[in-house]
Amino acid sequence: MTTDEVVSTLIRDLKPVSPLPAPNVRAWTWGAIVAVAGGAAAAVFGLRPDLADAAATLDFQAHTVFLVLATALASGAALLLAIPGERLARARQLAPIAAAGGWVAWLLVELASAVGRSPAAWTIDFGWGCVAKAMTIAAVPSAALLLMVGRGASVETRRAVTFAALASAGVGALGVEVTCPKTDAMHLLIWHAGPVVALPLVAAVAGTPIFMWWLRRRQAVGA
Amino acid sequence: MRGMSPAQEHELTLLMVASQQGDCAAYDALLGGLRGVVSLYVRRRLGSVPWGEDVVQDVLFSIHRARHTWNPERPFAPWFYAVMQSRLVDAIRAHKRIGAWEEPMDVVPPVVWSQSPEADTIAQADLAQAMRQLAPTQRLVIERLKLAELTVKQVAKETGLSESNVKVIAHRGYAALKRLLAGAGYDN
Repeated sequence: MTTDEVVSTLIRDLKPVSPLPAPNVRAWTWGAIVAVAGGAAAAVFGLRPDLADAAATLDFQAHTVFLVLATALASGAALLLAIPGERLARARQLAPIAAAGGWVAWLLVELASAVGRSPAAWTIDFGWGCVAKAMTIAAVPSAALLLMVGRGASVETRRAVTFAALASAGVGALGVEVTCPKTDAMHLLIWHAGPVVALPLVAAVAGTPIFMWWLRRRQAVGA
Repeated sequence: MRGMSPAQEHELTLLMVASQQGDCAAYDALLGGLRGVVSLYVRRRLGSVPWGEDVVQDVLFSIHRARHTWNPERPFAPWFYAVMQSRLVDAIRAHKRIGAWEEPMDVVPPVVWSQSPEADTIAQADLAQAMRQLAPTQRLVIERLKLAELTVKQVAKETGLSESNVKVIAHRGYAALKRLLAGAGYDN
């Protein structure tokens, strides 16, 4: 097929399109989805009984601030990277990672302090329930975010998918922070922070081909 | 890097706005303008490779598919160059990958197996449906190779593409067909 024929085909296929809203508008839309999903999760799982007391502690406040920052910045980055030609400054790329890293560092300090008080703080409990809960809470927001990223035309897919994974894991972690009453640092580090570290790493390594396969399937079925 | 003057960019911006609203005349003019810029860009980056025109076509397809992602309140050139650069890099990677694996034998399309005339009819309908979902270049090359039973050389001559290009397009087309048929429930 010649380029003239390609051009003719494209002109024949032309339909009016609505430009995507600006990335910050889309980020707020996703924030609304997270809020609704969070409300549903609270209704289903119930808030931790000591939430009011926990919220008064510096540790809980620090966890929440770091997680909200990591989630919001990562989702914003993913949505921005879904638009060709949009540049993400290095500082904005590092900010969500720094926020998530800040949370992990805070937990490590908490662990060191706990170990100083009692060596029993090293004990690792069975916390897969928290991981399952985080995945359940994050399921709808992460699906929505991937759809929103896929609606764009990312030319930096790996980074977009990695940031989307960080944002999704952040939502899950926030969810378990307000539903899980456990406060021992080792539990928080392994079962709450572990997925936030692991999921973006997995996405960075294996997320792009899976995401591209899914996009091609959507295009093939005309979604 | 930029091969577009400010006046040209302004004109293309207006054409893109009209194209997003479905104005075919504006889209014709837009693609005409972009085609020249893309051809020049590809020639400068790749030299006169036989698959240069394929890249130009790929870029035009990508612009068509991604046109909803351009925000009229943002400058057009960065969006356009990002799409073009991305397609160019993908094409170079794909060409290197295919070159590394390509064997000097004809390419074989996926086979749609069936056990009865009814199943045959359904399989043919699924195959036709999958063919319709291929990129126009891939569809044309596969039709000429397998339905018209032309050789790669004949298809190359007929379409104006190089022989290696015909093979590359056929490879991609068969891979896409395989994916589409797998999605429709066929194993091989």
